[in-house]
Amino acid sequence: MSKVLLLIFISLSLYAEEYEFDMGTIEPEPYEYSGYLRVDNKLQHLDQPENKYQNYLHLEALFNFTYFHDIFRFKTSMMATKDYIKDKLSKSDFPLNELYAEAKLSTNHAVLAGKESLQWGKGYYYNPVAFFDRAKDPLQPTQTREGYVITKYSYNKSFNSSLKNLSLDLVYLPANKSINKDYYNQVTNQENSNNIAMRLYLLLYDTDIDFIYNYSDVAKDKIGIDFSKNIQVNFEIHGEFAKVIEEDYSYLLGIRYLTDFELTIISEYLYQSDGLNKEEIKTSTSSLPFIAKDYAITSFTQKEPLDLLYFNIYYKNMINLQDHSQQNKIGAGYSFKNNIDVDLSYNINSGGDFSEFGKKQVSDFAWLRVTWNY
Amino acid sequence: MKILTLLIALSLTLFAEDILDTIDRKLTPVSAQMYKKLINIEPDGSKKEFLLFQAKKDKDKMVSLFLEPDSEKGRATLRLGDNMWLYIPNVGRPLRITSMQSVVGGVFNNADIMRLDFSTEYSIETQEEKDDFILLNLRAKNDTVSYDKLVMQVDKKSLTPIQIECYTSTKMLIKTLYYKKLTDFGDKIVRPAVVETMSPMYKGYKSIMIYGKIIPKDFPDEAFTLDALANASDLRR
Repeated sequence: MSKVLLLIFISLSLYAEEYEFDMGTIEPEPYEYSGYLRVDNKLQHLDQPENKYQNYLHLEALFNFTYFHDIFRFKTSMMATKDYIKDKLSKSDFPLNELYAEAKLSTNHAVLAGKESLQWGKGYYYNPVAFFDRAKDPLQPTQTREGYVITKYSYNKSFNSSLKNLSLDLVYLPANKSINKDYYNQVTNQENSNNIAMRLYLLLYDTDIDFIYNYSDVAKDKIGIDFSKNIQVNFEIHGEFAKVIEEDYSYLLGIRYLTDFELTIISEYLYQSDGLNKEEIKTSTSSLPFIAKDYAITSFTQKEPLDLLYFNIYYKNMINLQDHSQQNKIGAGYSFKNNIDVDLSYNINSGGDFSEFGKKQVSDFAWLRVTWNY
Repeated sequence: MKILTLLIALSLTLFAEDILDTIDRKLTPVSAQMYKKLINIEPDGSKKEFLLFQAKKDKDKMVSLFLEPDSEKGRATLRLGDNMWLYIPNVGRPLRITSMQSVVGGVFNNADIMRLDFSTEYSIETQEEKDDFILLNLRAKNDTVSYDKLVMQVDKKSLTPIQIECYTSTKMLIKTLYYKKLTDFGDKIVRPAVVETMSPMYKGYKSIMIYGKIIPKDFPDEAFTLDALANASDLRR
């Protein structure tokens, strides 16, 4: 009898524990922090007769901190990286991704000054309309990126109509040798410049739409438009179009589709009128991403295959449609319960000898990424 | 006689919709903030817990902010009617997501986690008085709703759900939600604090949602916008 009572007591305790909610942990502090420590190890197979293999180690630490005071928010995002290849490379970097102060003047108005990553655009791998952002790395499009020093005014207003929300951003970005030097070097051809961008966002008929205008006192004006919409509950379409006035243009069209067995398919087509054609790629020495006129990028991600929770497998293909060289990636990821994420992939660059991906020094590599989030 | 029949039918229909509205109001105030814990339990007994802050307004607006675990901290979702977005810190602009997916994995999908009022998405097809409960058959108002049909048992006394079976349009049972532990949260909110779910599609897995705090609170409409999503933690302050 006493054993039965003991068993009932134990099961009742377990039941109580299952439904326990410690309310002490939920009061907000005036500050928040988060970040990660990450190790990337790539075992690379080189396209050369000697020293066929090399090990590329990348260490990365990210620290985000936000302090809240009254109407103000102070945010910083700091990163430290170390890249190492035995006898070839040993480089450290300490980028300050973000550092800004923002004041929320009212429900509708806010101003911000400092370094912020704006992250405009709807594409997963490339954003033609992201005039004030650094380019994404197509191998890791979700990677944290460094922002630019800006001042920004934002207006935000909601409505009860087919237009549900409207927001307007006015952004000023100065570029010279001491401030926003990358923008000064890459966009305004090493001329001191004052750059302004206006972004009008509308949530209209359940569609996200952005209209963007970019003025510069030294470069040609740019215009951009993007959109994103669910045409079915599991089928999203998105696109971007950007044009330098009287010059080149680029656009991106994409879909995101979720099957009923939780396979997510993302497919994007990218075109740039000033991109290189097959012959130009042969002689190009650029190692920047997206040099060609057009690309197709498609990824398949299967969530929780074989009912394995927090596990996913994926395949991604990026093809240069000018020279038909390709980058293929197959991998798997798992999120452990102790805030550690592990991702293991195999990556191949393939194509003719003078094609974009065929010319890459690394022909294929195994990539292990371990991230501890805090 | 015909007019009388019509009046009776009309009043029954009105009452039917009323009871769904009543259930909605018993579960959450029109505008409120909530703290919820989600627990995924695997067949071997291992658990993963998520702590969420949620802000809700009217029948179709909701923001969720993940406070725990550290790997999810700062993630936020926005629901505006049929539109859903996910914001992941450091990654980029919010992405559109669907109600069928699950941002936490496990048996709860996004529609369960960011549930709008039942009367927003469903209308009552039939209503039956049973000895211990009221049985409602609910039909989705449009095809963007994640479950085509719900069979809901409602406690007669508290007018809150006891059990909800969720079916697809092909009458396949996707999951069953069990509402447990009737709790007084203050501000006249008396509702089940625990929602447990099991699914024939996830044999051996169980997910539990526990409500820790529900406080009536009014938010501006602008709190439920893409621009505000990155700053969702402002809503807690």
